[in-house]
Amino acid sequence: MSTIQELGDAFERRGKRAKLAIMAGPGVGWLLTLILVPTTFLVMVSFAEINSSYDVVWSFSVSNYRELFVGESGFLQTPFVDSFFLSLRIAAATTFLTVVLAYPVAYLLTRLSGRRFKVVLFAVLVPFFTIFIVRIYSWLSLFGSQGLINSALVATPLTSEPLGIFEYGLAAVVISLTHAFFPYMLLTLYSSLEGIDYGVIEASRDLGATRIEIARDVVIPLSAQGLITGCVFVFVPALGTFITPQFLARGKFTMIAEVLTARINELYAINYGAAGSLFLIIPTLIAFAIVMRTTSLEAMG
Amino acid sequence: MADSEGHGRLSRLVGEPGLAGTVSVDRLVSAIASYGMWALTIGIVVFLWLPLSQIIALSFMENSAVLFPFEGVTLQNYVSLFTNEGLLMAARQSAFVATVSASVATLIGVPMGFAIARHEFRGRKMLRGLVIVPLLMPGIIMGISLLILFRVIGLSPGFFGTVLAHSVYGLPFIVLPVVARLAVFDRKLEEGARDLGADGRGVLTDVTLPIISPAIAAGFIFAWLRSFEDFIRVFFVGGTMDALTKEMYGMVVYSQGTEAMDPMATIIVLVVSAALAVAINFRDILEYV
Repeated sequence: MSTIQELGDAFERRGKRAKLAIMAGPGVGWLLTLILVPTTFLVMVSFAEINSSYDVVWSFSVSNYRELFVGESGFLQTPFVDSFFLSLRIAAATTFLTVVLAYPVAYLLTRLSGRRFKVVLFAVLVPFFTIFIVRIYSWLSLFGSQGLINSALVATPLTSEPLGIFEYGLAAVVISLTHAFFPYMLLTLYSSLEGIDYGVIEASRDLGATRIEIARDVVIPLSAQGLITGCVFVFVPALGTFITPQFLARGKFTMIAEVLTARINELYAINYGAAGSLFLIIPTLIAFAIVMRTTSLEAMG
Repeated sequence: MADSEGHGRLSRLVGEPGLAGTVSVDRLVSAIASYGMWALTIGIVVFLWLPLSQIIALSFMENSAVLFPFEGVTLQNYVSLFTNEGLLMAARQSAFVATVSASVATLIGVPMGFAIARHEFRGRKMLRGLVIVPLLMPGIIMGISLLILFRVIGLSPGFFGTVLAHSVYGLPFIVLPVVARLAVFDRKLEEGARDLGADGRGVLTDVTLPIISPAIAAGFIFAWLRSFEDFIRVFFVGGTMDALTKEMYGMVVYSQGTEAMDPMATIIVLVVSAALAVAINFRDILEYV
């Protein structure tokens, strides 16, 4: 009797496993072959060389990394290093601006309902669904010395010369990135703020906490998880952006994605590109660790 | 006690008659915060819409590069859009790639979501982590690493490679909402259906899938949009295949046929706003983003 039972259990387990393999198998296969394997290749190619017929010659040399960091004028004096640190600063500034702008709006959204909620939501979400390249392009004719902002300013008595800050360059890139990524921050902040039990806020008010104390001791700590996730989802894509500086820096500076793309496109130096892009993987891995620690998958929908 | 003195001073400053002494800093902060939030929100809506509305205005302008000097209103830009065969072809091609990629992601992602949400197995935690990687990975890394992979296995860049790249890119947008929806799913509904005589397949098609289908639909739309708007991945793995973003990029960077750019952008903004207005009125779409 018991052996038959065991046999039945074993069949059932096998059936379950087969079912599971059918359900999750294709997805796992996709992730392995299109994410894990290519990333492994990327690491390997970063140590390899490319021969004159553009084939990968498997080897182990650090020359790609040396090329990244050692320039003609010395260590760390390369376009890559400059672009990398500039990209980090641009991504950090963008993240900071989106937090400052999105936090109050997200909080306001949690306090609204009905028609008002729908109107505000619509107004802030349309740019989000507009494709990225259009969002960035839409700033093109606003900036520049002939751009709308400068033309408008010159028309006023405030200034007779176009202002440098509204030329193509750093401000244009940071502002357009903030514009493009604002909704990511808003949505993650909104969903974590919405999860806060309003009773907690009322209770702390009843216990005598001031608004500032409530914000500092209750709302911000309880929404910290959304804040961190939002920062990750803004910082990482901002760091690797290619189109934005192409459109709005107009050659004044180059960001890391442009340096790598140019090398690969012009010289087919995928080994150099691989080594360089690994420095984008590091922030990604940190971001991944943060998200995994702070967020449950069930809450990420 | 210093605190209450502070309150007193401020309440005199605020000067509400009859309430002197009871109006606290707190009320003041609250009022400032409330008006401040509205002011900031309105400011942000202006900030978000300013560039887009400007594009819409420019699309009807005689001199489409700048608003000033004003040279008159025209539909000529729309004519040059609809006679730009290359751009229209690219738009169609991108829509096709997006549809195929999002469909593949849905077919793979929905069962995977079920497996993660409803089964205990070894490596489940790792899989949950792995699923969000395509979402977090910068596009340029995905582009370069897939370019290397395709080169090593001898797959030439083009439509097939782009669909592979975009379907894995879209996978999290399907899996995450499905897992999230199943986590709050009331399984009593399924038990009830089973008690009433439904078999496993019937429960799935008549109870479970209809309930989670809005989450799947929202995921499909996101996956579709992400594929449609992608530039850097298709730049690396698309080869010579047409793509709307590649075409638009070329138009801006090499300043060719730019007069078609504003109408194209306008149409995209208008289609999106119409679709979104409908979606917001029909369902609480925030559940799925």
